[in-house]
Amino acid sequence: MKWLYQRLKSYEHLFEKGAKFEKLYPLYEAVLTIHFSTTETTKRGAHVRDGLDTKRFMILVVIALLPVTLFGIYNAGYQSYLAAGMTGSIIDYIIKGVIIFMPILLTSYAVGGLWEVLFAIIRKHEINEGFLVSGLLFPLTLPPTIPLWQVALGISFGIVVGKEVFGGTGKNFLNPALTARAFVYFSYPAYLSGNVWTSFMSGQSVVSSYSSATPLGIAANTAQPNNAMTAISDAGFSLMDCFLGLIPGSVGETSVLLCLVGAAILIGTGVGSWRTMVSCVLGVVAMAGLFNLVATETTIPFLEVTPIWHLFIGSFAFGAVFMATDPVSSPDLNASKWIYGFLIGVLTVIIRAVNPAYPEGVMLAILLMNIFAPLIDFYVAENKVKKRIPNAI
Amino acid sequence: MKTLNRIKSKKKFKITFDGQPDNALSVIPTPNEVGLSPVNYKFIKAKVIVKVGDAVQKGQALFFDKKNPQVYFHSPVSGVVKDIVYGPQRRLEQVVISECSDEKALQFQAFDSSNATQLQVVSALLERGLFNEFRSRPFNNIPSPEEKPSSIIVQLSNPEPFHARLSAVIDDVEADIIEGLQLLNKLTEKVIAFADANEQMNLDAIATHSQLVRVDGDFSICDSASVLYKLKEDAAENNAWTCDWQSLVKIARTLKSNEYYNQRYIAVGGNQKDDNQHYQIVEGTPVANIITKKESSDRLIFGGLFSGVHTSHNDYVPLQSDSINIIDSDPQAEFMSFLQPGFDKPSFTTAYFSGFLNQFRPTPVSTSVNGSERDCVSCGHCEAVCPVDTLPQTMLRNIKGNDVEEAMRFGLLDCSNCGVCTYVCPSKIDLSSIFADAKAKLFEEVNA
Repeated sequence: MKWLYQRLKSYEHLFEKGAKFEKLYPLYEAVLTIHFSTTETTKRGAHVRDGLDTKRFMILVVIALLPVTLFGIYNAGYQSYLAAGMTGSIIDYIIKGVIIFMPILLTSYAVGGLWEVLFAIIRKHEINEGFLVSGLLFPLTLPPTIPLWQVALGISFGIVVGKEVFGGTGKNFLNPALTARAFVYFSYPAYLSGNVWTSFMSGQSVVSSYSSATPLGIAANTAQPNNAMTAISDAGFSLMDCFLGLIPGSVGETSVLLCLVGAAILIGTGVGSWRTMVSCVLGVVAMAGLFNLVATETTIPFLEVTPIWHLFIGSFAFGAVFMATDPVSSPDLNASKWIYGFLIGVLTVIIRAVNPAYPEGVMLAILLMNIFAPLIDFYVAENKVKKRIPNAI
Repeated sequence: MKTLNRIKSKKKFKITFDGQPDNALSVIPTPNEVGLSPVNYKFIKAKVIVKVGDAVQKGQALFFDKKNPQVYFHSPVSGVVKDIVYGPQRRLEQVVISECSDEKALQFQAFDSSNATQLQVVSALLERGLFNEFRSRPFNNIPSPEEKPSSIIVQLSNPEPFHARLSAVIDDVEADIIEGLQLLNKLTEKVIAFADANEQMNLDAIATHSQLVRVDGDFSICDSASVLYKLKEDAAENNAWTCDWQSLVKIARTLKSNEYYNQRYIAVGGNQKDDNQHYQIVEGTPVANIITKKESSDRLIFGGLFSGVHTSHNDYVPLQSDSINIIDSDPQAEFMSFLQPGFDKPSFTTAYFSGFLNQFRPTPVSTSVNGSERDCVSCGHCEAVCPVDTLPQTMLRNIKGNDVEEAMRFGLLDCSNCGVCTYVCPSKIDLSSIFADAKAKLFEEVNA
């Protein structure tokens, strides 16, 4: 690989200060450092440095996302076949899934990357690896039927308004992928609710036994005196189906099992905060438990949904593992993460159960808590300062 | 001050580095030329009182600190002043003395410390050029001789890779350290000595003359600033003085022999494994007299891997240095290194496989930054390793926003500049230098 390195290095003079392509230096830097590690040595401070850099940090998130992504592709194809009443081999499902999902993913990366590069060149900052994660997270939260122009608009809003206007990765206070998703959700509600969760094959009629409703949608639409959980079971979704994930839904969010695999990778490598994940679960359990206690035959049926169902349906698992743990938009301090995660769990259940307009509460809960993260940090830090013996002049 | 005898740390920074010096000791004879460099005294404004060509005696004053005009630095050898080197802004870089010999030393008046008062001890130290062995918290400057410290904290081990170890020479110097501690007891009510719990040595005799604290944790906890932070009970104790065991040896031997004691122990650590041992040198000995092998790709560091200063083969060992580290400084570009399992990547995290192996083997060292600088992503690693429980991310924001008052509330002045936050940062932000600069600015403002 030495020849490639020397080749890349031989172009460096074109991008240096005062040279012809000076403005494109961030692009050159990104291409070089994606291929080869930097040969920079320490100038000040500690003479030795840790091997971990932001590239590795972000790539580990992408690796943790691979299981849900691959499964999402398979499931998108599988649901499509199921809806048409056909059966195919695993290969057929995967090919169909790739055809459904790849255009969404590529649009997201291409348009998001364009904005990232544009801002890097104009604002003269490096191209940040964080976009590799945002560009993958966003498509995973979308239904397979999403029009590509909405993907492009959504990721543009997420990258520009959610991140770049504040100065880029590290200075944003909202999760860019969720900002993108929220933009699409509120701008084009028809495309993100109703029968959008399965990509139907053209020329094939949908078999009558197939319902493309998600368990969450079913629970939200249950009317008294029916029981929400019975309604989900009657629609053919067992708790196990929801756990394994072979059900309609957003591409990446259906499988709780594979979200757990992702969580194991994130926690094992120290990239994701286990505190946030655990406290999210605790929040859901606490709030759903509380609702179960007050639920009667005259209250909203969603109040009766038990904690375990709350944890397994919708995109809670995906949100808690991959979205809530985004280090930039979550609070800095470990103690704050407990509060932050717990409130995400609580808000998720409240929004799901009490607000019938938004059956999926995770997205809004996380975005809302992103906004409160600095406030939580402030009080936790003040509390820490109180315990210190003052040292000031 | 808490009367603890053991400090145990809960911080996560558990990583050992390759290239530890062994306990062997060689004596380097008096060199032909020495260079006295005050680089380790960050805040002094040196005024040289000798001229090029002057003959000087061992123990004769060479320069003093204009900010602290009673504090003089003395010549460790007799000889002729060959050169006085100034750096930018006329900062004294070094005074070079040639034709060095150990003979013809200036004789100080005999001093009997047994009945001496605090003032007598201070003036005896000032007269012999020994007062500059002390530093004062929180800025690590030379204290004012008029000040009475709330406590003096003596560092008996410095486990930062790789400093000279007391355990290598304790049999020779134990009696001197005890004499030194007795003297310190005249300067303050509270003398605290601390040592690494993992360094094998018998300190029972030392414990009878001080509050001996064994520190169980990584090197950043085993540091005067961290020990002060762990022991203090009141804001009045913040201005403690610090010194290390070599200072006590120098003070005790100078007072005993009435001649300036010019020897120092240093350790050589790092890549050149066959040279990694302890040496006894004259202060200001040229590096070339100690390290004979030379490779252009190596970096030489005076002091530890985390807080030392960059140097070269042509330099002289600066005052108060007790180690030279030699590490590889020629990082190779690796193809897609962020996708590799990384068995050889040094890391305290488990983001690379090496993180799982840290407790079983020492990590190889190099000067590679291992990444490019980015904005803070709030990963929280710095908070997890800070020995004095500051909030480095918050302080970084405060300092960037020019709000140093706020940074002080979060513990800026408790910071020991151990450099561990800089080491762990995945965004490659040099936190400890940013904090050091903020403190230096504050010091200049306070002492303007």
